[in-house]
Amino acid sequence: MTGFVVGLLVVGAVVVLFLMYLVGLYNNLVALKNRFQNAFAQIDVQLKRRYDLIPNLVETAKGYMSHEKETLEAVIQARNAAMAAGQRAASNPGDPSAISNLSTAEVALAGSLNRFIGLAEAYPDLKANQNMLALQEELTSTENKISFSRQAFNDAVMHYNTACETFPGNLVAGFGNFQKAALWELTDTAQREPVQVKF
Amino acid sequence: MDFFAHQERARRNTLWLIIYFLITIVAIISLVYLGVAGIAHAATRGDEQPIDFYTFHPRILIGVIVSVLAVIFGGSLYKTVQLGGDGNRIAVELGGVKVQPNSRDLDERILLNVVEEMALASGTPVPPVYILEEEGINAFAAGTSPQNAVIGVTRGCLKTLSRDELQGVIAHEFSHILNGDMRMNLRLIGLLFGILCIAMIGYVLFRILIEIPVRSSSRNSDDAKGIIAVVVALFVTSMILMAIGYIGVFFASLIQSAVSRQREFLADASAVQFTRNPSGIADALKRIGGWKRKSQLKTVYAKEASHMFFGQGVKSLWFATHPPLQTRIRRIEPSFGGTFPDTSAIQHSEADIVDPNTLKLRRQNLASSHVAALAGVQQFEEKPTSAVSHVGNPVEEHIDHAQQLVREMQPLLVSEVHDPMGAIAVIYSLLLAPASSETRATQLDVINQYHGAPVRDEVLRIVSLTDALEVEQRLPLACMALPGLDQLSDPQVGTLRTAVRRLIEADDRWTIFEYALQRFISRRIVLRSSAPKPVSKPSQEHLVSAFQTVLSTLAHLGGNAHAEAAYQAGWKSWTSGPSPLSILDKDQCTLSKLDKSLDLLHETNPKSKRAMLTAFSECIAHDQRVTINEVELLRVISDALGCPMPPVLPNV
Repeated sequence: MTGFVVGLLVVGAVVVLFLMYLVGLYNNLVALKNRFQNAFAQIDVQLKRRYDLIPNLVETAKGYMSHEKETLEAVIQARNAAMAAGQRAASNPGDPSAISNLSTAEVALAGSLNRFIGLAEAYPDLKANQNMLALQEELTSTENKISFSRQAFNDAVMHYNTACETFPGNLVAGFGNFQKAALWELTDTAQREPVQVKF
Repeated sequence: MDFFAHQERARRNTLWLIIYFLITIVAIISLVYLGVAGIAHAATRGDEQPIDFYTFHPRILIGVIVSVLAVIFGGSLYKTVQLGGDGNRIAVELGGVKVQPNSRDLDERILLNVVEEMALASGTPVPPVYILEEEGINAFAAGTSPQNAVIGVTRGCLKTLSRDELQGVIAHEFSHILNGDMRMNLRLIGLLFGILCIAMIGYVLFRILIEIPVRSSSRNSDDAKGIIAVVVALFVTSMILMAIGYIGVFFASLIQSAVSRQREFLADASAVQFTRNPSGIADALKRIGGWKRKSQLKTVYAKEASHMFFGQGVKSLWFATHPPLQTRIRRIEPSFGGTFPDTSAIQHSEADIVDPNTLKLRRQNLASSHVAALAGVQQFEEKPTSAVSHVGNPVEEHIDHAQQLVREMQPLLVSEVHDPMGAIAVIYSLLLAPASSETRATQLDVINQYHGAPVRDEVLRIVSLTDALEVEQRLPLACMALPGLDQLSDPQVGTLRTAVRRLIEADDRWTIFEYALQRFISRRIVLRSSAPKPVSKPSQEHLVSAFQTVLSTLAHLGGNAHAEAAYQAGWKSWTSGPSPLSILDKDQCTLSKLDKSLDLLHETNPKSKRAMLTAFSECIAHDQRVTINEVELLRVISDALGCPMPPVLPNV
């Protein structure tokens, strides 16, 4: 009888410890998930900053580039589309389709910005405008910060995905409904180049 | 009582608590033994060799001791590990969302600034800040040491409190961090959970028993009888386990809440002391009283973590972890009538981002301090020895000084440090050699090699601003940049570490500033991945030689002429006698040796830490002038000892 009771208590303790181990695994996944979501928030701050800068840039250029109305409108449209995609992605950074939408929209925005800046080359007055120079300086800095934060985001996502896919994390991930998150990759090779803002 | 006395008391209290808990555990073991013996007695009554309840059975006792200890310590270890070390995990568990250091939201900006000022004023690293999306007015601190602490506030807090009130609340939380309350609480919760595990096992057993239908398929009456006997025995066991567990938890919680209430009074008092503004914290408490949601929390973890909060998170009378609001307010403001004003959401203005009140005061004193800084040697108003009494105990002047430091920095720099890449750029540009030197060109190449052109361009963009900084602003700015590093991914952190080392070694020599910066960075980064390993208690002999190393290094910093005398002055303050060990030669005081010595000194008790810090300050002050190098090294030392020391105030 004694042996039985002791055995029962030991088995109970072992079961409790095993459950705790599972809980630990689960918590680790939650922590990793939070980390990459946090990393996205970091990008988001910079993206918003850039979305705020672009209308100012266009507004400044308007007075000089009255003939290029379409290009300016295209920039604004691409910016609005990217902003909408950014909001969707921010609400759920783990959703692969939201991230890929955002990355496509960002590619389009970068393309139209490049065209706009290429055109601006032809306007010496605009090139000399102090306001324009300051805005472009801001834009470059923000672009750099985005690419820097994107690296952190991708590293965090990779870490999380590895934990989700390897044993024994994959068992807990399946049980706790942890889905694989998407990396923010630059799909279009042309867009691996940052926006050219140098004159 | 000062910081050291509080630390000492916290340690003693912890000891007493452990003794209480040991008594509880002994009681639990005895009860479980009696229960098991009783059941065994009942179950074997008909057998040939019945187990007699009244004789002692060592085998049962050993079995009971082993299993009870396994459950309690397993449970408490699990809980301590789960909640321990890193405050970030607790904050996330409570539903906190980290405030991005570069947030542009007005409320969040104000919060970050208040926290930053408090951290600079008390000499602790700037903690990460979390926001709980809760309507109630509440705040918490989590983490076991100043290095891994985090601060969280509710959205309600931001919406309803003015800047002064918010400062009071944050000061209260800093008191918890500085007085080591969280570590004690952590132990308490761990043990509490361990005892709860006993009840949980009983409960699980009970649930299993009532879920399994008793099968009557077995026709053999002896078997059926045996099964019923086992079921009854298990049933009684589960009941006994539950009873013992819950009674144990009941008493343990009473102890825990009583301790917690005392610490809250202390934190309130400290908040007044830090800010010299009793109305700040008193008004914050009144606002809680007048707010429709009080300080209540919705999160399911609120109960478990109630002791960490600023206000009572869950309603309770006996188990209240906080004293009643009225009592708390009366201790700060004896004339308080007892009626709470209506609280409504307020709108913060841009002016609140920096504290408007102290702005004008400080401006007048600027000129003189700049002249002193230019001379390279600072005259300090207070003797550095008096700074020891401010360890863990910043006063209004320190907060003002911190606010002033931040305000005098270029806004571009301040916004830059709050961004991860900007933080890196600021740290690199602080490490650059003087402008247009050959070393600087090499260093820029190093940055380009490790991080690419974008970071190098960012450094070039701000380097003119960092070059223009006063010497005493450089280390605080670097410290402000450290939270930005939390956002980096592991590969980025690796790159940062190597790059920093290469930049420092580009000119083949280490300055004290570089040493301090490198140490702060690696402490921040190491803590991120794992808790520091405890070092075994060093022998007296090792301690003395470690003390000798640190003191010698400090003495040499003061200049060759006075080194020996300064060393003796420091030693005299420590042992009130001449030194048995003579001062180390200058080339024997290497930085790696200093590193090792500091790790050793960290393992001493608060009392001797105080004595050592006083000795170091005496050594610095011996020649009547204090250089920025000495001040910076003293900061590194106090940080390494785990005694956050507010910056020594310049003579403004």
